[in-house]
Amino acid sequence: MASEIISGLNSYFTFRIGSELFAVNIGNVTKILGLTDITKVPNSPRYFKGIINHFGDVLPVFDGRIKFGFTETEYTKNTCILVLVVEIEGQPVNTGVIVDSVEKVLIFEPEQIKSAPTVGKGFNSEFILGIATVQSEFVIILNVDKIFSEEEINLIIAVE
Amino acid sequence: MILFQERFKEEVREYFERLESGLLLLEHEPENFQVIDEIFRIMHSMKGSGGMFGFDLLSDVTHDLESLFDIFRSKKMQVNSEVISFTLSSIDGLQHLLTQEPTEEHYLLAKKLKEEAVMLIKKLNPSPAEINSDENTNERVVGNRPLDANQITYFIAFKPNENIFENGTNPLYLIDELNALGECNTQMSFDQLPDLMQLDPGKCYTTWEIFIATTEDIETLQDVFIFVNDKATIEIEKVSTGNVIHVEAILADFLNTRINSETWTPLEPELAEDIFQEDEKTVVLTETKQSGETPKTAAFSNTTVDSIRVDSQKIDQYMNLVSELITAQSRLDMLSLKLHNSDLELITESIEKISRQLRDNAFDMSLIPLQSIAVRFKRLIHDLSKTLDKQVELATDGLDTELDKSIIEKLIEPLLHIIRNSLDHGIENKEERAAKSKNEVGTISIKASTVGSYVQIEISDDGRGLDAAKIRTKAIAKGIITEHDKLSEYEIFNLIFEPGFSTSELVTDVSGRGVGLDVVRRKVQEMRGSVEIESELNLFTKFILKLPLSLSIIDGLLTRVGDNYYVIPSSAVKKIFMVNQQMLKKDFRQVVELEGNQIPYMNMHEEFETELDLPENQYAVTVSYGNQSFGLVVDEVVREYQAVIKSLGKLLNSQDIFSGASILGNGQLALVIDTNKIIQKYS
Repeated sequence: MASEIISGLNSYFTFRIGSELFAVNIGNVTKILGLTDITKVPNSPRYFKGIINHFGDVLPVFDGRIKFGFTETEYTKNTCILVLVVEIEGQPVNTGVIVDSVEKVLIFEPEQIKSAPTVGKGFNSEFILGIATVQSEFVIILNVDKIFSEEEINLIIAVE
Repeated sequence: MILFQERFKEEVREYFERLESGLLLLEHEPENFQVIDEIFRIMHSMKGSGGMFGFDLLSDVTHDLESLFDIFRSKKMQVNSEVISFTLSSIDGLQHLLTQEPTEEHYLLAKKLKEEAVMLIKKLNPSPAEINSDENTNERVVGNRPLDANQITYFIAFKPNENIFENGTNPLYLIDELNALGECNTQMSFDQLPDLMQLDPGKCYTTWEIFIATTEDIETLQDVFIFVNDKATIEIEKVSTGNVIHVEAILADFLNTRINSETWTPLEPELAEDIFQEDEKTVVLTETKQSGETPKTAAFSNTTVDSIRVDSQKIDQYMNLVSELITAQSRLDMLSLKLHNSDLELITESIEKISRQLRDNAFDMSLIPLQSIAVRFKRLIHDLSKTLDKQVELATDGLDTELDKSIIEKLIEPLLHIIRNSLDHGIENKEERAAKSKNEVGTISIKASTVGSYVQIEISDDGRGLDAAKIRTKAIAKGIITEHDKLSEYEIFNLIFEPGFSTSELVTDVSGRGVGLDVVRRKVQEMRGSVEIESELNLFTKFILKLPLSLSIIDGLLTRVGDNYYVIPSSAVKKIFMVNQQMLKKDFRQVVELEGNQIPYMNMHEEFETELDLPENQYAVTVSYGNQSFGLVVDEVVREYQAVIKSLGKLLNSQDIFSGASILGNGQLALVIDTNKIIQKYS
């Protein structure tokens, strides 16, 4: 079961969707699963891929590409499901996000994280905790609780 | 300590319920002293333990209520309806006082309740000296029991053979058994005990001498030892008529006679009675062990406990585990089918059998009878009929029908709402009833029964019934239907479940607080149940609720559409037909002709699997929707299937045509269809 969400750690888990490098606080990541058969649920929003059997529980799976406004592509051998624990109505809830590839765990000290720019590149700053830089590449640190609380909204984070 | 207090609160809530049901019973049988005694007893223990756990206000107010009931218990007065109403409302007040950190408000409430109680006591019983005598009377009750003339005191000498342990007998169990038959005075004797060096721990050296006062006969006592007759020496002798266990003089006399090997003449009743008189003080002050065995006739005061209290969370946990077992079992089932190993098949079969039994057993455990909430109905009717000045009687039938605990909990509100409605809108006032030459006393009846995997609850009143024309006009005025809609009477009646529809012209205090019958329907549907209405003008209105037995496991039909599986709850399924594309008409109305009837349908393949081609032959599963049929067209009907329903989770709340998902044996997921919702969406 989803344990307490540990926050306040400076470790961040990074992954790629499309051209962008994203990060979430390590406390939000519970598992990384290979891509399995996903049972689709008719009549749901396009970014909602379906449900999978996650050790006897039903885990909803979202497509990160669609959710974040990228074009859909074929899944590759690097594609996987990132299981995140997010807080919804005060309850920790497990949810899966399909990402193009997972990278590694990085440590960002609070002073390394800059606030998100409000203009340019089509970012919706409400869903972003901040931006950090790794080897001259930007890492978008996501506010996962926010992303899933607004499930009906298609997040236009990146415009390719 | 907090734990104890929580437990106490739980206990008090149970007391409240028992008090309520007792009081309501008393209303009809004001001279039922057993009930009065029971009420008094509950109040007494509530007072005592309330004080012990720091609920001082509660115990304070209860003290006065207890004094009040002492008047009736001592038969000085008869209980009247004023007292019952007062006590009922006091109990409501007491529920608020169930707090350890009382505020000003609580003190005021307690003061008010106490004053009212004292006033009532004064009114009923002018001599104040009697009021506070409850301590004494209480002891009199305790003292009363040993005076039971039906009891006989016996002496039993029980000398087990040394090797009695060898066949597994535990002599202590026999002593326990005797204790259950009556009041015992047991002495152990270790005379036979050898030195430590010679002691064989596998042998029994103890002997017992027991005095027992019991209403049972000597044969019953002998029967206790029936299995050890040849392994022990047992002597049973009558000591006296009546209970003389506490009269030490007699016991000593008897033992002396025994030691001197003289013959003891059992004491005669009169003689024993005399001794009682003398020794009454000792008798009175003795704690008795036999409170459980006094036979009580009224069902209400039946306090023998043959059940245990289990934390409801534990039951939920147990249910979850059983659900998981069933999921695992169906996986095993799949594997066994694949491997074709006869040994494995045998085991699988027996595991399937056991897990089904376990499931039924677990179900059974979490089922509670409707009776458990009946007090709430009675109470509501009692209070409301006073407020509305209508005379109403409640007739119940089949309230022993059992339902899942979680359903019962969710059912209380809708049921009370319906009853409130019936009382307020259904039952006419006295004059109106007289004018219609109906019995002045209205009747509300609640009938419950199990129908297949469903429980049906009917709540009907013999009131004014529903006026279809009136409802129609109103529905048009409210914009629920239009002038041109052609509706059957049944459909019109069911309009009153629509949001924003309220039947009463004036908003009363009782019902019509803005929440209408639409809430009832929604709540019932949330439990995968349904509610319908039948009525005849000026005769009756009847609400029919159908509810599943359980929320977490359902019997369903496993069907396939494309590559995906869907479960249709069996409770809704009527028939399965094989159909081909020619039969599925798609003109201006989607209907399929089955057995001569035109049935609207929804092709799940067309709706859910737009990318795949339609197969030539499909199956139409007809499900009931209200009193109509609707066809769900699927590619294949796989088999019957016991679905353990898992929620789709908070993120998918908007997804309402599926009530959840079930994990199939192969780990694949099948969506469980909510037939009502899917029909509403697609018809």
